[in-house]
Amino acid sequence: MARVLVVDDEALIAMMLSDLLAEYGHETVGPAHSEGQALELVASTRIDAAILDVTLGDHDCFAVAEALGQRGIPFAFATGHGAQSMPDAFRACVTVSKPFDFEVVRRLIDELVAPAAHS
Amino acid sequence: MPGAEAPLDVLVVDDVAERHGSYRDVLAGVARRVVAVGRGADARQLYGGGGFAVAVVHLDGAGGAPLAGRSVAETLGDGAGPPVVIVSEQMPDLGALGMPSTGMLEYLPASFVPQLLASRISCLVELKRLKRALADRDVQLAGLQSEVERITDAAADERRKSEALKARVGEQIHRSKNLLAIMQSIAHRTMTDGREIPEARDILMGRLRALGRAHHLVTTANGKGTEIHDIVEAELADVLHRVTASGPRLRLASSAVQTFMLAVHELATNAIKHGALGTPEGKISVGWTLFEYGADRYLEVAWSERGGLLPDTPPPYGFGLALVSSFGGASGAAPNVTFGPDEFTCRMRLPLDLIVVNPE
Repeated sequence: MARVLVVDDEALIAMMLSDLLAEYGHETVGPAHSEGQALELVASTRIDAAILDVTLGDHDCFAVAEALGQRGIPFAFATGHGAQSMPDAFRACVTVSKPFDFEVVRRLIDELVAPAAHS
Repeated sequence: MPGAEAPLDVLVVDDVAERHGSYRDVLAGVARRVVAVGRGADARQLYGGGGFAVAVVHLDGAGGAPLAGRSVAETLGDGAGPPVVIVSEQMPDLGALGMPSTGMLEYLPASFVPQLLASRISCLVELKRLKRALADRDVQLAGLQSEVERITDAAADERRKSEALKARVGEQIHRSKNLLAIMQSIAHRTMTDGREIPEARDILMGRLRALGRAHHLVTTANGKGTEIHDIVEAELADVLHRVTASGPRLRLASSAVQTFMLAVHELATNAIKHGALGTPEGKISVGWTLFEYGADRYLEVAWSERGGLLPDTPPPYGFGLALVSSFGGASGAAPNVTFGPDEFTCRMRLPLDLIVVNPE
């Protein structure tokens, strides 16, 4: 069982991701609905992987992504924009588009938590 | 010379009338018309409005002595007329003649008049023509320049408009996809609670209608947030006479409006099925307050039902409470549900960053 941080400013979408994580046998950290909340959790909690909504109200999640990257925590973006709208630094990162294909999300979560599962 | 091809009228100003004839002779091959006058009012009038190409002014008076104290300007006015050839035995100080320095002034020694006058006149006429052409070109250039500026500005404006439109379209696509994901979440929750399909369908329709109301409020709020009061009123519109809603004027951020509207929807649905809205005498009160205890700051929303409650009223577990809990997010503040005699209260905490500050 891995601990997966969910960051989305829409509570309903965060809830769905939490449901899916639970269904696949993982635990949700958060969900965080803002950049501040997410950064606080990254700094204070054990996190094995993260799924980040790109747009958080007036902010974006890239500061959170950087903090995760510095700690070597794998993460993926969930976005209603296409991958081509990502800034260069994160264009190579895995993105999953909204609305979700649950099968894609399941495989994504498997990939994200794979290192944690082996350790 | 090109200037010589145009019909040329020459004004001769000379006090010595005997010389008028010789000027006519000298200019016969050059000018179409030669008008010779003495100095004075006639000369001034002809110079200013006679349509002459050139004026030839002989400065030396009768007896060969220059006319003292009578400047060319006195004779010819402000120099707005045609170019002037000054003829005199001695080179006058052209500046002292009082003519504006238009560059349209030439001096010719009296002894050389026959040989040089015609070519001097042609030169002056050509010079004037060129000056006028230059001036015209400057005007055209200025016009062209302002036209270029206008077109450049218009192009920049178009570019700005199209970029703004592109950004708006991108934002719309993003919102639509988000909304689809929200509907997906609602459907997922509604269909997996182990319900029979007809029941699930009714619940799903109710939730989607609430989502539609929230979406309408968010869209009309135009990014300025939506008043909590408006959300409560919109969701409880059918039972408003049994509802008391009170709290400070606060606006919720658009991302919270849908969740809050659905939470109210779930509470109201529950109240219809099992609570105060299931009986005619039941009442609902919705109150919200800002709490600040040091670092602990949040908005508390209290939903209370009084009257008509069944003794075994179940709280809105499942979707409703999960929704309300999700507001707590990382802080994990679950809603507080309390039962009293004929009374049910659900208190939920919303983080303050869901409130829009300074919406204007």
